[in-house]
This record gives sequence, C-alpha cells and structure tokens, in this order.
Amino acid sequence: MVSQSNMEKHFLDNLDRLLAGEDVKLSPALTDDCRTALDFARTMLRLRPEPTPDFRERLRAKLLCRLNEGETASPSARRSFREWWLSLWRENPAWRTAAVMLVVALVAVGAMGRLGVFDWLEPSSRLGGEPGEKPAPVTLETPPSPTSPATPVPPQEVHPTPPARPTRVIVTELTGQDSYLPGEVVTVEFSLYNATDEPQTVDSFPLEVTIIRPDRGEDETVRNFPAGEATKQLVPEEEVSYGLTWDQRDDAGNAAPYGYYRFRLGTSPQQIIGGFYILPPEGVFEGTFQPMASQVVGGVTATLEQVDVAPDGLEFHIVMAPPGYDADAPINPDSPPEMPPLPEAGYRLDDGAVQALGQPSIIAPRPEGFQYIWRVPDPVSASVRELSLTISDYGDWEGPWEFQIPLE
Amino acid sequence: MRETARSLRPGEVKAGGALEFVALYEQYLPRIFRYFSYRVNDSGQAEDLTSVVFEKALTRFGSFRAERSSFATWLFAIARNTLTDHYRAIGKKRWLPLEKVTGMAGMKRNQPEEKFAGKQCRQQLKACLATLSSQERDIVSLKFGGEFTNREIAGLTGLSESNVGTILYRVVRKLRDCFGEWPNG
Repeated sequence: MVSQSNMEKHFLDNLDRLLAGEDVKLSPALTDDCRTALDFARTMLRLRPEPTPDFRERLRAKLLCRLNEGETASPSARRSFREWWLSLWRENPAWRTAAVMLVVALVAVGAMGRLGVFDWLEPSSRLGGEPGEKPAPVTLETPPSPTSPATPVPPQEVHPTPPARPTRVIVTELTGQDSYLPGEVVTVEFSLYNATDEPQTVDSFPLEVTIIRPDRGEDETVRNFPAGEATKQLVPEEEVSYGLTWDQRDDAGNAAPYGYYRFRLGTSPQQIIGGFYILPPEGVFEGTFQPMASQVVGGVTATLEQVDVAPDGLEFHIVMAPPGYDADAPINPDSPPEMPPLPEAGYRLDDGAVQALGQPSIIAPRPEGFQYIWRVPDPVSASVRELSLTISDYGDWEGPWEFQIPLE
Repeated sequence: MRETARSLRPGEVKAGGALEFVALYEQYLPRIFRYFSYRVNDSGQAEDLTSVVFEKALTRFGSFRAERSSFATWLFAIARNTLTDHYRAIGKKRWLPLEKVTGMAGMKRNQPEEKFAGKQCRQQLKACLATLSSQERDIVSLKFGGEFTNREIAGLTGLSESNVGTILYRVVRKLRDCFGEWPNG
C-alpha cells in the first residue's frame, strides 16, 4: 500500500523529469490517481503555448532598437502627475520652487526609509525594488542626503533613495526571505564591502542591528542586537559577511505580531535596509474593492475609489476636492500654485486600533479633485472581516469622512 | 530546453551588456510567454505582458545583481508584478467568466482537424484554469510556464517548498478531473 505522501513525492519527481524533457516510464506501483495525474501533466506540457516566430522577431527588434537608442523607460503610470508638475516647473521660478517643495517633501518622507512608501512608484517595485530583489545597500558614514539635494530635483524623478555612490564601506543584506511564517526563524546575512582604495576599519563589529516596524509616525523598535566589540580591518575590495538570526520575539520576549519589518543599522533612520513580512497565522487576505462611495461633510466630498488588499500591503485611493477646486482654472503666472490640502487619515481592521496613514504616497490632480493614494506595507489577516477608513481632517476642513469595507 | 535555460547562470551575466541581454531574451522568452499564457486567457494579452516585462527588464538590467538572486527569479518577479498592474488596470477582472471562456470565441471549424483539436484542448484547459484560485493558478503557471523547481517557486511565493508540492499535486488532479468532464477530455 503506497501512502498519499509517497504518491505526491513520485508525482513531483516525475513531473520535474517531464519538465526536463526526460522520457518518463511510470512505475506499476503508482496508484491510478497518481498515474492519471502524471498523464495529464504530460498533456499540459504538450498543450503549452509557444510564442509565435513573428512575435519573437518583433519583440527582439523592438528591444534591439531600444538598446541602440540607450533609451531608459519612465513610469508611465505617473504621466498625468508628471505633466501637471512639469507645466508648473516650466512656467515660472516661483512655481518651480513650489513644485519642488512638494516633491522634496514627498521625497523626504520616503527617504526616511520608514515605510518605503514610494517604492511602488516604479510599478513593479514594492519592497525596495522588485520583489525578490533586495533593497539598495547603504554606505557607512556617508549616507545619501536626499532631503537637501544640491541641485533641484526634477518632478519626475520622485524616488526616495537615488542610488548612492559607494564612498566607503557598503553594507548589504545578502540573503533573507521576503516573508516568514509566524514563529519561523528569520535568518539574514549582511555583507560589508570596502569600496575604497584604502584599508578601512570598522569599529564595533558586527554592527548594531535593530529590527523595526516602520510606522507612519515613529518607527517601533522590536528587537535590538547590540554592536559587537571587535574591530574589523578591510583591505580594498574586501568583503566580509556575517549572519543574524531572529526568533521573532521582541526585546521583552513576546512573539512579534504579523506585519512588515525592516533592519536599522546603528541608530540613524537613514541606515534602514531590507524588508520582510511576518505572515498572519490565518493566512493573508487578498482582494480589490472599488466601492466608489462618496461622503459629503462640510461641503467637501470624499470618494473612496479603490482599496487594494494584497499580500504585501494595503492601498487606498481617495479623491477629494477643496471647495472651489477647478482643475481647468487658468494658471496665474504671478502666484505660485496652491498646495493640495493633505488629508489626515487612518484605517482600522475590525475593532483594532486605528493606524495612521501619514503622508499619501502620491497626489495627482484630476478633473473632480485631487487623487490621494496611500500605501501601507502591512498584510491583512484572512480572519479580518471589516476594514474601516477614516479621514478626520482635510486641510482646514473638519471631517470625519468614514468608510467601511466588508472583506468578503 | 530546461537544461539550456539553466546553463546560463546569473554569475555569467554582465549587467548592462546588450549582447548578454539579447541572449537572455532568447532564453527566457518562452518561459515568460508561457507563464502569462497560463495566467491570462488571451494570447494577445500574453504577448503584450511579455513585451512589457522585457522592456522593464531592459531598463533595469543595470540594477540586476547576480549575487542577490538568479536572473530567472529577478525576471519573474518583474513578470508577477506586471501581472498585478495588469489586473489593476483592467479593473480586477482576473479571469474571464467560465462561460465566456468555454464559448470558444474565435474558433473556426474550417481549420485542419488536428489543429482544431489542439486549440479546443487549450480552450478546455483555459476553462479549467479559470476555476483555480489565484494562488493555485500562480503556482501551476510558475511550474508549467516558468519551469521553476518547487524550491524556487517557494522562494517567489513565500510558501514552503512542501506546501508548493502539495498544492501542485492537488491542482493537477483538479485540472485533470475538470478536463475529463469535457466531451473529448
């Protein structure tokens, strides 16, 4: 009698061999269930679609053309916002200053590294780059300073951490998973690399590492691993790595809740690196809602257009317009544009505590008002039944505007 | 083909090299296209998404770090995110309704019998794929389309390797049963 788990193992082994193009002879010991499953896997492989030669050629030609041009893509998803600010940028120095102020303010929020809220501006990046791709390394002693750029930041270049030129010792998170099950040991390897032409000394090796929960207000320290007392000498281009394991317990010994975590090196908020999720034990809720629900309070309408609940976080899309908002109003060349009011918003899962949303990740002008998008890097447990969003204030206008989204 | 796809290891990639990128394109195009073919119900959409992935990969090729992840993992991470964006753009209609898929729109009876049968089988398979959950479909697409090992799929999805295997075994049997319900299945 062959057990179900043995059948599963036989199936998976044979499936891998089929995928590798091997001629698989099925053992007579296999159950009919397993044998027919493998037969069907063969059928699936036989039916696998192939790109047509025409498509293959067209795409190759297109890519070669772009290679020749040295073209770099820009995120098309943000075109309207870009064009709007670019129009301000071009018209008048005062507007340019105003535009830069908002952009820099947004950059500063991202550069704090607390949330990685801008990571998604590149449509395919959420966790400090592509999922699976680790965030950019940080450098010791000479971190980038995006809040005070030496030259004005063009509006389309909204990005929290422009790649820093390696100036000294680079710290990189080498390994580590994107997500961990509750209680699973988090294992990470850090690397220190001397990118200079001179020998370098790293005091207090290994470096102090703090596991934090990035918050919209202040980062929450979960577990601190103090710096070591060793001194490490690195010759030019030498790299040393060291590991860190975390049992998912905080400094008080309690199990850390599910959510998004990052590593802070030392005490500087700019030395935040990596990012991973602890998944909820009940599993992750996933879904998208487009309630298009509107509420009017004090003459201001708030419309909740969309809520995305994804394994890697939440996204809220709201449209609000201050009274008198007119997207088509002629631009006055003598006065800087008014900044969009910033909503103060928070969300709640079931009867839990309200989580502040902080600065929106993006503000985009639309004919009916400003669109605000917040992104929160926390997953939602599959056991959650209701998500509430509250906007308490909108600039000088008091709310609240409240929305309930049943998670079904 | 699988061996060929793995023969070019990430360490051999010189980031930013045009020739390298073209070679990788040739190597990975079928896997990316098949992955999308399993995830969407229209070959035109699969082509469009494949194009987007390689264009994004080209733009970001200089940022690819072989020591951090394999090129396949990096590329498929782009592919999966591109798919998420696609779903967002089309208003979350992840799958066509079953009745629409099974309507066999666009099929012409004057095609050669063998070709017709193959196309019909693919339509049936798509109809069965449409009954899977998003996670099940993702895993079966990564396996049959992306040709990943279960360990690699586990790395991409955040599931454990054994969980991936269990899901795969269950899903293939589910698809087999669904497929068998069709007159010529």
